[in-house]
Amino acid sequence: MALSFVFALLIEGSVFSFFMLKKALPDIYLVMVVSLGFILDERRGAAIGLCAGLLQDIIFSSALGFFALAKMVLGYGAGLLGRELYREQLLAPTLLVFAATLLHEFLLYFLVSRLMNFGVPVEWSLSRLFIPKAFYNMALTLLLYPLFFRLYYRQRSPDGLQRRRGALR
Amino acid sequence: MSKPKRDRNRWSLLLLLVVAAGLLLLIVFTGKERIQLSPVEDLLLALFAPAQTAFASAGQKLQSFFDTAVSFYELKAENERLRQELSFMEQQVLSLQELQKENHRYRELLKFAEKSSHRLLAAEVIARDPSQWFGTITVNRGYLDGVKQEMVVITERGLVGMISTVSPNSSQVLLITDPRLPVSATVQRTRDPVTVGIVESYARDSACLRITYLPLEANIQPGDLIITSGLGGIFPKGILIGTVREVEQDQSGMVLAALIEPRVNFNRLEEVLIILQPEKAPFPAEDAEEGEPGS
Repeated sequence: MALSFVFALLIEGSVFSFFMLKKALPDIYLVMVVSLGFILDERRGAAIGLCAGLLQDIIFSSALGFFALAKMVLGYGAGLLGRELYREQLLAPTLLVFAATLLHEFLLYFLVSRLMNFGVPVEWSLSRLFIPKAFYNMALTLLLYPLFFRLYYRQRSPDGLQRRRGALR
Repeated sequence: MSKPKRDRNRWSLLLLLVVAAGLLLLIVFTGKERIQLSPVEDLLLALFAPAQTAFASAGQKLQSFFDTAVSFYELKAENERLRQELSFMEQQVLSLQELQKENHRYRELLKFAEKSSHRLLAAEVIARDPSQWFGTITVNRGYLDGVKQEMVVITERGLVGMISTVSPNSSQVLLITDPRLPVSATVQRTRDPVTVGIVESYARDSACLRITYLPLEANIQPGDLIITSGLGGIFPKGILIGTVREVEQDQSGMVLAALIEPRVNFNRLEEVLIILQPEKAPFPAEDAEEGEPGS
């Protein structure tokens, strides 16, 4: 799992930076944190979000804590919702990632503008960056969520995967 | 929900809030300009740097590959656009060449008209009889331009025919290749008043004419130029008709006949001159025959 996060971080900073959707880049980490939080639970979701966010902070941000705080909160929230919604269906995590991306970006926007007195008009950011990014992440969720889902249930018990595979759609 | 589970959730939430508060402090602390990074950050960045370099290089190659693919499509589109432009330019060039040719023809006509002693009216061929039976063309000048029936039509190369019908803005010209239009003609070299025949169409070869009813003693040979004789009152004297290709005895054996190659290419007529008023002076056929065989 840790390796996949390292790999994702490297891909995100290199390969994906060449595939901008308008000006937006996907956030694989966020997709991973929300997906895993949704599949696992809120505590593990928050822990994964915290670790992944800190790693992202160290590698990409001069200040520590921005990504860690946002991703920890979202990992926790995804875990809470995972209890209430069907984990076997792809629709819920996909929509959740869309909403989580917008929340994540608004949270970062708030933190950056309030704590570092830096920012661009929020309307511009929403239309040009947040929404394209949310769609980009949704597309990534369609690829990644089934993968995590199967990996997790295969790890737990092959029978469990057999039982749930048919339900994942 | 059971009580221990609820407590556990409460503790989780509390822990989350504490960590969040800690992270906020961390943001405030590290958000300012830092002179030095922490050893953990240093270590992680040092560990990640080589891998990031490798991945960035792979990413650039991937992007270069996609750029090539995209540029291929762009080149294809550009190629298509340039092809269209080329096609358009070719059409333009053709059109200009056509104009150039037209200009050349008009210049020749003008030069001829200036030298001619007749009062001439230039006309453009706007239609031609598509059938092989009659030799008629339509020109864009009619009685509003002063054109009348039986006016003679020529080009700078020679005789074309005669106006047969006139409408306000156009007229029909009966070509000398039409069997309905016999023309009295003579040999330009001798201008012998006895050597007068009738030029008419030649059924075996529509591109040729035939002069018949020439006396057996007529002085005519291949290469001679045939001109209008002026007899009959329609065609002024001296208009060039064609060149003798072959002389033969008529079937009756009483008269001579000759095959004539017309000077005018009737299949390529585009502009003609209508003689509005012929001069009494003889037509200066000598000017037109310069450099011609038999002259």
